[in-house]
Amino acid sequence: MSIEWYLVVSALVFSIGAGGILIRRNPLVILLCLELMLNAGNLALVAFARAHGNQDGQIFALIVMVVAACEVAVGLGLIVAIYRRRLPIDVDELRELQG
Amino acid sequence: MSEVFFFLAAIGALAGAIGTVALRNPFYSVLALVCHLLSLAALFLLLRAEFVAAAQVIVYVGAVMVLYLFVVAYVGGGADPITTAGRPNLRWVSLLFALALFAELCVAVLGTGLTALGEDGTGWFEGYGTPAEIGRLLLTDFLLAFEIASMLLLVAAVGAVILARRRTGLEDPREISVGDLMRSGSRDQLTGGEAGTMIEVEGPPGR
Amino acid sequence: MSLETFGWLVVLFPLGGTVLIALTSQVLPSKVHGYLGTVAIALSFASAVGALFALQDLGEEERQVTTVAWNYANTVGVDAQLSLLLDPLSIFMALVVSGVSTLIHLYSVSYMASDRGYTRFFAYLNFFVFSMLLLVLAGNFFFLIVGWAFVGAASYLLISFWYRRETATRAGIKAFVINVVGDVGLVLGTYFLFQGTGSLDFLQAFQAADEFSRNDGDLVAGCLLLLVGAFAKSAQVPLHTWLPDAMEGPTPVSALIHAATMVTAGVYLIARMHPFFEQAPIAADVGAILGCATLLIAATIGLVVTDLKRVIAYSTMSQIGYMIMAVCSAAYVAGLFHLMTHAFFKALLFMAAGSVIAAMAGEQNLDKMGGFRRAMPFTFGAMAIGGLSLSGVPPFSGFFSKDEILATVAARDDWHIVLAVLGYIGALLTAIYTWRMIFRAFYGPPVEPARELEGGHLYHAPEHTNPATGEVEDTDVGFPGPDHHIAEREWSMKVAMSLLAVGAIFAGVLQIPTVTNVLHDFLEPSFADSSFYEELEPSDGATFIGMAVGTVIALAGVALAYRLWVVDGERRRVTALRARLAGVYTFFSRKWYFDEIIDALVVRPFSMFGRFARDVFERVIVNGLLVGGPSGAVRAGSAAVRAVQSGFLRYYAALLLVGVTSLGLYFLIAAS
Repeated sequence: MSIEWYLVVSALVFSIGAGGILIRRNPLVILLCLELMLNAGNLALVAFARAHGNQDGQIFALIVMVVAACEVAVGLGLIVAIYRRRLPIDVDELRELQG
Repeated sequence: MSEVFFFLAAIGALAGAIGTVALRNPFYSVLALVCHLLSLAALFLLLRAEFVAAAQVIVYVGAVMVLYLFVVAYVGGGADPITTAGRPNLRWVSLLFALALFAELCVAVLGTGLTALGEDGTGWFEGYGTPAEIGRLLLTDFLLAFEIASMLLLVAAVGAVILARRRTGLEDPREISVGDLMRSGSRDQLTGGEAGTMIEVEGPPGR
Repeated sequence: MSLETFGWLVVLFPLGGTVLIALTSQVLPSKVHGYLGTVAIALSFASAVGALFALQDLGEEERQVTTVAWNYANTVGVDAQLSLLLDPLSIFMALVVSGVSTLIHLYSVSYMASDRGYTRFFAYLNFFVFSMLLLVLAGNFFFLIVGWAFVGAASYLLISFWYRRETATRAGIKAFVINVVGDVGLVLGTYFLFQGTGSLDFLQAFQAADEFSRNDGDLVAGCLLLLVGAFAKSAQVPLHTWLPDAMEGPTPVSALIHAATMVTAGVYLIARMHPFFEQAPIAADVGAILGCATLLIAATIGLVVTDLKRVIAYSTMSQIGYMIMAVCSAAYVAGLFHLMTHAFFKALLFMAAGSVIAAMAGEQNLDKMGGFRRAMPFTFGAMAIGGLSLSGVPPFSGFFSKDEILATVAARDDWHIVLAVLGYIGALLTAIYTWRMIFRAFYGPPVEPARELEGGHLYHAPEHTNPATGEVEDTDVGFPGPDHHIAEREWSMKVAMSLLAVGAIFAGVLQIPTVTNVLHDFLEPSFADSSFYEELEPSDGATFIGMAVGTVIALAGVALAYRLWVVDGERRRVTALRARLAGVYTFFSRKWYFDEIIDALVVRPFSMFGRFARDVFERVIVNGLLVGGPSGAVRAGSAAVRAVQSGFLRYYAALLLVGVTSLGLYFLIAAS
């Protein structure tokens, strides 16, 4: 399969993730959609690495994985804290950062 | 043969993605994402990225997603209705722009002048994508990124602990501890909802 | 000491007096300040005398000396220097100003003795004398304007000396505003003249005056504007309305500023600028006509006013009208001679009036006065001498000066003879109103204060009030003091008045027609460039006829006044006359409605404009549009932008997505 196929798949997954962020109201699910987008990026990176013939893209993808893991940890910690405060787990309700 | 595997994996990835977005129950969304990640690992294998695929399965699916599962089980969050009254209804807008984004990306990829993308990939050598090669690169060419990434992990871990810790004692009566939750017999302490397993706890009304 | 040194000392002594009094105002007792002020002006007078002698030592050709102390700027063709011009005219003015000022200071030492603002009074008075001397000794337009402005400021300070009286402060403001109008005229006039002559220095400008063509447009405009300045300062029609109100100031102020010195500044100005006026006869004629008109208007009003000081004020206005008429008709010596004699007898009249008012405990209304002759003989004598001089009865000085004016003006054989005839009519009116005032105050049955004074006790009013409005006042700072001082009891007042009386009687010897010509010869170097100075002289026959006519008129006026106000005890004839000519009487007593006209023509439109500016322009346009517009726009913009920060996470994400898509679209299109 030529590299283009992988890139198209990556684009599709990315778009699905982007749309998902806009649609869902549960912050957990929004984080999941964020993961989708990150993984789409990873796929594109690895595909390009294969296209170029060196492994820089793969290293990049590994680092992205690390970053995603960190972000998930912090984001989930935030959501747990919100839950502990008995606030609604709904991004439409959590809008104090306005004005 | 590889085409077959490719399409299988691709369909799996797309199904997983759509499932993450469309499924109501957040638990099911997590599971759909797991499926998606596994398909992605398969795609990595097809692209000769062995170590990345392994890392994807072990780290991403094995650690991150499990963490997700724990939190979803704790927090829960109910099915949120798509139709919102008085809230910004972005269903069609998001659909439109997601499609637009996809179209643009496709145009960019398919109409590009990069001719190498039309082939299967060049320069495969023995040891491409193996842990040995990755490890060698990580410790020589990309040492700085490696170190910084580890620093980042440390920071994130500390941050997560601080964010989610329980304050000493329970001064804020609104705060409930896991222990209380487990121990609870007094339903009025918690929500007026039905008692049950943690998985089905809807969470406090929170007003 | 040289002439220049004397010249600078004349100006510097009063300045030093002011500064010294001001600096030691808290330290020394106030009585000392009175003497300090008087000594300062006396020294200034002495320096003026020294300057006179030094000037006469110089040859005839060299009697115009400019001394420069400091060169401010010499750029762009503007030469602004701190310079004095010492020539016969300026020394003459300096002598008159400093001499009369010394006597008035002496008078004030006792007159203002109980006033809490005594020190402040002398500081202001010295400052005024300084600025007046600056004005008359200035050697260029720049310095003249400085002195002019200072004099206006000093006048304001002194008119509203009793600053807690609302009538006084209002009068001060009125005087100052009209003065400012004059200042503007002076400055603009200077501009026009400077444009043509290219120099601010007097001597250089005068030499360049011939470069103007006769009745050149710019020159006429400049001279007319100078006339505006002169008229505002000298209280001529139509800028005269401030002078009667200025009587709110203490009597020494009226004597000094509004009789002898400040109001004569206009006369001095025209005399000094004679080269320009002779080249622009249109302006000179306008001035002469207006001076004549003022003369008559003021005389008619003086016939009907009932306030003692205001009668004398209108008399001043009228006499200045004579002087203006004279200098605008090129009768320079006559005008300046009358300036000198007028300074003497008018200051004397004011001083005597001050004594009478003090005896009345501050009351100034003629209706309430009467029969002071026996109680205050010295004051009566002084007033009589002043009155005789003012009416022009020979051999007093006023007779000689007024007759010289009228004869010289008549000698200009064109339409000026009309002015001379009107001047004689004015002389008749002058005699009448002067003696009306004197007879009403001193003759007839004595009023209560007079009776008390005859018994040796100075009358005190039960409570201190503002004589104009009847408001009760205390006697603290800002109001007149509790005690009143009359001439009979204060030696300094007696000395001052006596010296002025001597001048009023004997000053006429300076210019007895066909006998002496002292002033004419003295002032010649200043007017050497005048085409009229030598030629304009009435023939001997005309002079004697004029003298005879003048004597007859003056005596007739005195007699008429005597008949109406002394012989006719109950004043039946006067009341009958008033009833018959009620309309005319009202017209005169309303001061020819000048105040009302100016109020309608000038004050109302300006205050309407001011109100419009405040309500419409300021509120709507500036605040609403210019300030509110941009700020409102910014606020609206911010509100609009603020709506973006709704707090909805999905909105932000949507914005991101839309942004990214659009960017991608842009780059795709750009790349294709």
